[in-house]
Amino acid sequence: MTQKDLAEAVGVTRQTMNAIEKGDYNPTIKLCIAICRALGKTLDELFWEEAE
Amino acid sequence: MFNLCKEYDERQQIIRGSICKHIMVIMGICVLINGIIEDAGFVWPDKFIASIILIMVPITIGTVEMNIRGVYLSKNRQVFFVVIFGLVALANVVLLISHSESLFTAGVITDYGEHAVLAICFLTIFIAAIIRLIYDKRMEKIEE
Repeated sequence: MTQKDLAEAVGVTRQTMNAIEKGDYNPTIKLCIAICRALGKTLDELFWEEAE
Repeated sequence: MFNLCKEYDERQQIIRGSICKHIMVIMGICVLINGIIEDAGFVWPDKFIASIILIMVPITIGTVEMNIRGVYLSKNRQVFFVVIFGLVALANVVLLISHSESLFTAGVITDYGEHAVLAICFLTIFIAAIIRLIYDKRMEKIEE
């Protein structure tokens, strides 16, 4: 799935999806859930980062 | 108004809000500077064009900022807006070139000079929008 496909699936622009991937933009919880649903993943799987 | 909001995603709305604040501040500064220079004896040859300049300068700065920060002019009509700004810029530039008058007379901007400022504003918006459009298309291709 490309950034554009995922962006269209969740109703945002490719630029926004790119900014989220690069860490330039923190999405709202609503958008996080929409991304998780589109990818069939949980919030933990996608967004949780283990502390070093 | 509300339909327009649906056109932009959450990141676009946040950035647009921030740019609107910048435009308001710049417009306020422009009005203040205009008041100061008019009090000092400066006279605009055409007050109507001068008021359009006071609006267009902050909008131009805001539009350039929009393009730098990755905010599109319109979601589905990006090319349409670029063409419109391009045509307006082209018309202004052609008008300026066809009349070879001076921009300043005795250190004061002329009517022709005022139109030149407007032409520069439209041209700047057009160039910024087209650069962004090309950059986005290129990034889309790379990503695919």
